[in-house]
Amino acid sequence: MHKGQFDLLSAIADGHFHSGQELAAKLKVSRAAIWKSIKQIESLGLPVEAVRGKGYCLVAPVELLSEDLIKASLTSQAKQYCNNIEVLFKTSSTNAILLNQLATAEVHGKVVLAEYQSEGRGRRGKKWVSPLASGISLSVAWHFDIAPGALGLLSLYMGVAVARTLLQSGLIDVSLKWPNDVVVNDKKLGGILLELRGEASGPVDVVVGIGLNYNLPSKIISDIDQAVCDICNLSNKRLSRNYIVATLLSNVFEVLHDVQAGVSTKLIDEWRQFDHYRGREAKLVMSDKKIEGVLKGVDDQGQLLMLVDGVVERYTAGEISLRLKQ
Amino acid sequence: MDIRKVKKLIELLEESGIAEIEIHEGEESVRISRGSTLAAPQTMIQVPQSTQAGEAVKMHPASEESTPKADFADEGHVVTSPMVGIYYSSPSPEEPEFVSRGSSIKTGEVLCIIEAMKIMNQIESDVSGKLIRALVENGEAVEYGQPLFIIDPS
Repeated sequence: MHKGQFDLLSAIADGHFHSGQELAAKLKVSRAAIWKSIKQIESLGLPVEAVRGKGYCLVAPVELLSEDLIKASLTSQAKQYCNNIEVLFKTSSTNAILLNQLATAEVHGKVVLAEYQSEGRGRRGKKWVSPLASGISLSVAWHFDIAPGALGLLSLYMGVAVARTLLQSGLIDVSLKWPNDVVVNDKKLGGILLELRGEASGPVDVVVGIGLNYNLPSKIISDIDQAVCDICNLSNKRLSRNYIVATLLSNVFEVLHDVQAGVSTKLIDEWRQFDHYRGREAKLVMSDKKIEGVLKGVDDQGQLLMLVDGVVERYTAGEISLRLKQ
Repeated sequence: MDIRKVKKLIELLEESGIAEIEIHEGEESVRISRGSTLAAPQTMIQVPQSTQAGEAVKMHPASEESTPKADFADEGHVVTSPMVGIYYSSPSPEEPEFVSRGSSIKTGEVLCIIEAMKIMNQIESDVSGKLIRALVENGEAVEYGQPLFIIDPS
């Protein structure tokens, strides 16, 4: 469907100049078709430089996702659980793809990745911006025969899986903001959205969606309405996108395994190690109200603890908005 | 109930020849039964009110007592909330509601989303029929067992 754009992006992925003529010959299409595909790639958020006499060049080289490279770098445990990896060039949302398949297909252990999401989503219709080949957007489906006791905690544990991945990749100052926003130096690096279908005490299907900023074009960074950062800017060495995906999937499957096996209780303490927001003043925003207080960490069920009017209260819903440090 | 206690009970069951034990402790109860085809015993923990299967679903501030299901039972089939959380009538704010008055509904169709711990729980209908009415407003906090929809079963 998007083969033309994919082939062209592969041909220019190295970040060097390629002439329209060279690309047309290589891909066996007209130069006009190349030009059209370049415009489409740009419209998906990836900037391309065009210089007369030299050709086309990506502003920054990209590493396209590869099913084989990802599979090769999974831990043996993850290989055991991950039965199917699908890399899509362009899709609405990887979570939507898996949710739609729940009813008709066996999707336990299935992973869907996308180079570009047109409707990447966060909480309640919040958009997750995922420009072409610049982020990591993936979803994992998992079936529990019996909803585990720690299902509510899964939201926090997935944050742990992401934070662990970033530490293993050499990043520092990785924080988790309740329940699972991934933040570095108060700038958002990633988000997680869990969608669940099933019975509270019976079989349940969970779709875990994870979005990470890998190497965002600067124009996109300035367009997003909050402070964001990306992996490439935070790291002093060039980190392979496929390798990060493999590390992430390995951690996600390890957490899912631990939750299923009922050996996940220590994960809440790991979450606390990433909680750098204790003691910060914050607002908890729910659909119809705002509560102000001081963040006090989480209890063993993963509920948010907040000091409000001298009393520590517990919350299971809402979004934390931090008061900026003076 | 303390998880270590439940674990102890499972061990006790495994050592004994008993097929099932049920323990009541105040408002909480736990029943552990040895499935005939399963090697490991199956556990079902029932905690009334706010917590289901140990899931953290307590809400604060606690809203008023939920209306008993029986109040609507003569109007039709009542779908109740399986958990505590925030009720959403549509997939996202820009999209239309999952169901509205008069919608015909199939078993397994998603009726609403309840959010807790940033998990979007899609609540499915357990019957087919026609929606008489929804009892909760978008964005409202709901309690465990609170009636959400009345459906005229077909």
